[in-house]
Amino acid sequence: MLNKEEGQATLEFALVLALILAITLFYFQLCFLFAYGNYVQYATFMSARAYMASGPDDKDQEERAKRVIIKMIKKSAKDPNIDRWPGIAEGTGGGNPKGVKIGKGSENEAAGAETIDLSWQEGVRYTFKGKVFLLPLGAEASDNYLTLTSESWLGREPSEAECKQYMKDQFGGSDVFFDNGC
Amino acid sequence: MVKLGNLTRNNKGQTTVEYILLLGVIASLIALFYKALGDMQLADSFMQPLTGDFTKLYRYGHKKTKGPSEGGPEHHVRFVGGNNFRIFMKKPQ
Repeated sequence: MLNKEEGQATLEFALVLALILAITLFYFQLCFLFAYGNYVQYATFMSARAYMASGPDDKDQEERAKRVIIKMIKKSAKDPNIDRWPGIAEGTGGGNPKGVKIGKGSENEAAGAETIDLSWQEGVRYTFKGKVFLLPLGAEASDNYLTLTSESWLGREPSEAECKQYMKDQFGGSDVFFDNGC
Repeated sequence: MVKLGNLTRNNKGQTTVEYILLLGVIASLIALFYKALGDMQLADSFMQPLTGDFTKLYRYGHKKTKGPSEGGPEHHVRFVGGNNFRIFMKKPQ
């Protein structure tokens, strides 16, 4: 049996197929991940826009942003921690829903109110990770993921409640006139 | 009742046994091949540009940008002063 050459082509094909399949699947998975990354940039922007627009109070603004991002990248409002396309990427890190941070960015939060250098950092940040190699290609399981962060810092308009309070503090009285640009 | 002598003298099942043995050899070769790929750090060479430059490009729009929590800010569009500039790269002096 060892003197024959039958099956050599099969053996070579099996060996090369593993490598070709790994690289082809890597390419496809990367394409999916890039396309999803583009979509996530749009989702964070939409969510940040909903957060920016004024509302009755700041909780309402946050809730709106949350609803938008859940609708775009999560399975449903009932399952906000399940991703829409878990085969491509999933939210990672803290946040509710997972991976989402609405409001002040962590650096802005850490800096506190006394510095204005980071005051622009208010909006939506989403961190997600996607599997890159469907066939391992010799990579450790931990090295198999690409973690990306999308952020959209559009700021936040003062809410109606904050406006009222501000005008009250400035001019006194229980009922004061105010506009959206207070 | 089948006698043991009859079983060992005929050729029935030889192909199956050879098939299983060959399958074992091929599976071992594939495993060795994958181990060699791991040693070559082929996956690392694929991942390095993604985890390095691309991650920065995706987040900040420029591969040299550093955020405030990454030892920066550097080449950051939202910071004033230092090595930051709103059109990404500061013009060389």
